[in-house]
Amino acid sequence: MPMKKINAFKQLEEAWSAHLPAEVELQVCCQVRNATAAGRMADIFLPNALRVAAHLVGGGAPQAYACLPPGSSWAADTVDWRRPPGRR
Amino acid sequence: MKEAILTSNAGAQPSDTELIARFLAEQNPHYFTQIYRRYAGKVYAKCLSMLQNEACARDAVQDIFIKVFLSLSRFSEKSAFSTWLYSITYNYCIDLLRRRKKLPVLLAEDVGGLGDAPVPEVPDSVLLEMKQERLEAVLRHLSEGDRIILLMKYLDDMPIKDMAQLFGKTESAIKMQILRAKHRAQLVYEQLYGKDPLEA
Repeated sequence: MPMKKINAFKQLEEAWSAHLPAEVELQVCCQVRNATAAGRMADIFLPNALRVAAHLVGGGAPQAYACLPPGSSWAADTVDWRRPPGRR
Repeated sequence: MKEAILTSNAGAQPSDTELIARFLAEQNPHYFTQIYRRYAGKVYAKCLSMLQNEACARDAVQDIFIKVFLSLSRFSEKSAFSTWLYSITYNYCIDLLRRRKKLPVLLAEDVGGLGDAPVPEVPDSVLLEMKQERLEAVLRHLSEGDRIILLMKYLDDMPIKDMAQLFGKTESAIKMQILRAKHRAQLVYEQLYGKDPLEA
């Protein structure tokens, strides 16, 4: 069986790594958990929010707003971007 | 393919790649915690040896793992995860030292005043077989550049090519730097303990 080579650097690393306080893990994991949750929220709400914003700016098919009740005033009354405000 | 990775080794300890794939697929922080537990100690040891300050090393570990979390999706699996993580660690610490000391370069050719004088070859065993506390003291007395390059070489067995890339130097310059760092470590040892490390 070959003898294991001594490496003082690795021994030193083991000694140092034992001194890492547990609170660092708590802080890192807490930040990761928060960021993951925020990412999930963005995944859920961002696509719809962007679509609504795009329709509000550029107009478009009112049937795209599935969340609005049928006959909703602003959903049916699409803004015509070619007309200045106040003129119908 | 991903499913194959996820279902393999069901009973055994999952590999780094498996954990990363699972984390990216499920966004479950538990997998990241496992990665953290596997490497945090080693990252902390590297930060501590480079920065020489416990509080700074703790902050560095936190910053490095957040950085890893944010760029995990860009990990290409071209190299091992540990290699990728350690290069982030070295880059972070080198940047911090440069900013702190306002040094444009960390590895100056003439650091330590050896100049162009021929550097005697020091066998690796001098450093590798040194007593732990003595090595710690020697490292503490070396410059940041020397310390980092010795850690890369003897702790992580980092290829010369990777070191050259990290420091933006040629491979021969890195080899020379290692030679000088070893020689300076030997000189520091002699100053501290009054004898040649080979005879100790």
